[in-house]
Amino acid sequence: MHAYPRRIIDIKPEKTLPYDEGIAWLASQLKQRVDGFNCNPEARGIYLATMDSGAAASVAFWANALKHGPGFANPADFPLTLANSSAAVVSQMLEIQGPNYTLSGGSDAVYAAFSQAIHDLSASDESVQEGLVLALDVSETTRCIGMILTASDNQPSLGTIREDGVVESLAPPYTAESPTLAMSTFIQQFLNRGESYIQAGEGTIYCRKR
Amino acid sequence: MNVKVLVTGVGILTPLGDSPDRLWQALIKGQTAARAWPDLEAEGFRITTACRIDDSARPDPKRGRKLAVRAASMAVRHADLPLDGKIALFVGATMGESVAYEQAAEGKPLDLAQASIMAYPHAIQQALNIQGPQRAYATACAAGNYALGAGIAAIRSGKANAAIAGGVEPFSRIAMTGFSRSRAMAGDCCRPFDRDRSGMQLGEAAAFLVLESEARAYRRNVEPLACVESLGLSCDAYHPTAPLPDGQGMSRAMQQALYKAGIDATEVDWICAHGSGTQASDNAEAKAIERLFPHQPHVSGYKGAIGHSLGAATAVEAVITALALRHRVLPPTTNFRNADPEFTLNIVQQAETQPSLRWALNCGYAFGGLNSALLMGAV
Repeated sequence: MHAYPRRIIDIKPEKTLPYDEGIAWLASQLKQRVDGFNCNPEARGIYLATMDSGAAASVAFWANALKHGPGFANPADFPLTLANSSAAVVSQMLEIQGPNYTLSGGSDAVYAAFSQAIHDLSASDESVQEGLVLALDVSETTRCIGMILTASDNQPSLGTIREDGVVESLAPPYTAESPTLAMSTFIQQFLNRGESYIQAGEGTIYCRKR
Repeated sequence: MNVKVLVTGVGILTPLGDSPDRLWQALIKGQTAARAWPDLEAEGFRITTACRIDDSARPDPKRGRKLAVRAASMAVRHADLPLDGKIALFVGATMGESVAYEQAAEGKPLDLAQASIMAYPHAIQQALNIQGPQRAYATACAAGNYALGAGIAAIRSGKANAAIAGGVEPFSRIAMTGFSRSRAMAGDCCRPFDRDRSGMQLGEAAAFLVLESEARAYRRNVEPLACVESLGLSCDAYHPTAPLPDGQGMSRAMQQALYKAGIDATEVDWICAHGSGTQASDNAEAKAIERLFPHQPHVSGYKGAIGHSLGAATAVEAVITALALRHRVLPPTTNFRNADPEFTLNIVQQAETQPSLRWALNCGYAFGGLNSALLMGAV
């Protein structure tokens, strides 16, 4: 089996939202734009790259505890302090019951998210059939951008994606700190030039239009 | 045929022992690190009992990185690992440097590059001067298992000659408050799977394992502790904090780990359980184990001894599992007194020698419905 990009997703609200509202809004938008999965919920995986998921909620939760005392902090806000809270909300909304990854970092985390998804989708046990690979920013701006990858022996519409050695023919790799900026550049190059790549210490994710 | 991946070294810092040997001796005796902390009482915490490493009262925004570097260095020394070539590094955690977020709430600037989980592998890589793939897994209380699963994959794919994988979680006032306010914490002590269990107790820890292929380990003439075979993952997609009550998601993770390894459920001798000590989680886990393992393998839980160290927990328990497989001894479930009539688990109550111990599952679950099961074996 191989992994192929099936759909591109790009969501940006018109205004910056508080963390809890932003995640809920993004999850509802994702549900509309994912266009359905072609496999059962247990064979869906999520691979989310983020640097700031849970950060603002942690600060807000502790500010609330300082203000009212630790014995009176709002318990409903606590789950949102965890860095994996965004992927948890999305997986619940989209019924993703397979692997649930949150990778912390910038462009390196985007690379790692793709690498993990390609690994899972290509595995011989075929336990993962579709993977939602997302980059997420939630602090200063709320943005979510990424791809649905699908496992197949036949090439679907968008093109091919693979993990590879260094790609010499393209421009130098983009090393943005923000995961959404890195993902956005990756996807824009793919759409405009027909091929793109993202690189980390361990290799290259290479994507080419069909 | 999969490359066999071996554990060739472990490093660990816990409130019950600052080395694998000291922790092991304390676990065998059924000791606990839980105690009341005057600083928490002075700060107005309703629950002030926790399992903390002694120097944790002084807030330090670099504490997680310091613990991680010490534990990873210990694992490297234990394995006598040459730090040349590609050494992969995989670190799991829940929150990052909690003190940095706490100080940001008081008005100090927050630098995410220093506070978030990605700071951990960077700090270790810098301290050990190693090169190779590195990743930071923000997968809450299952994160250590995720890191170890990545380690298995890196060795098998040839991306790395060796992998250092584990987890870290410094003591967090945010978590202490959050779990307490969610009424998930035990007032007296944490009793996994006990009839009278009333909740979890917060801990802190760092634990790392050095993984190498069997061929390389024998070439280097190192004596392995155990093998790490496969990781099973699933997500309940059910509730932000509560597990699926019937434990189906947990079962799926366990089943997947066994399927990947081609091991039958009846071959599992022991389960190092998540055993958080909460009613909901222990109930669901017991149902999952009962459903999948009717032959009643031994089951233990160690959070009564060392507390719940969140993102480090599954790495800590993987170290305990490796030591148990090496010694062929199962440490007791600290604080377990009375069986719960709701389930029929074969809980380890006294240290038990098990000469035929072969396969063990190290299980960990997390907020967000994340389920993980790591299959480990004796060598």
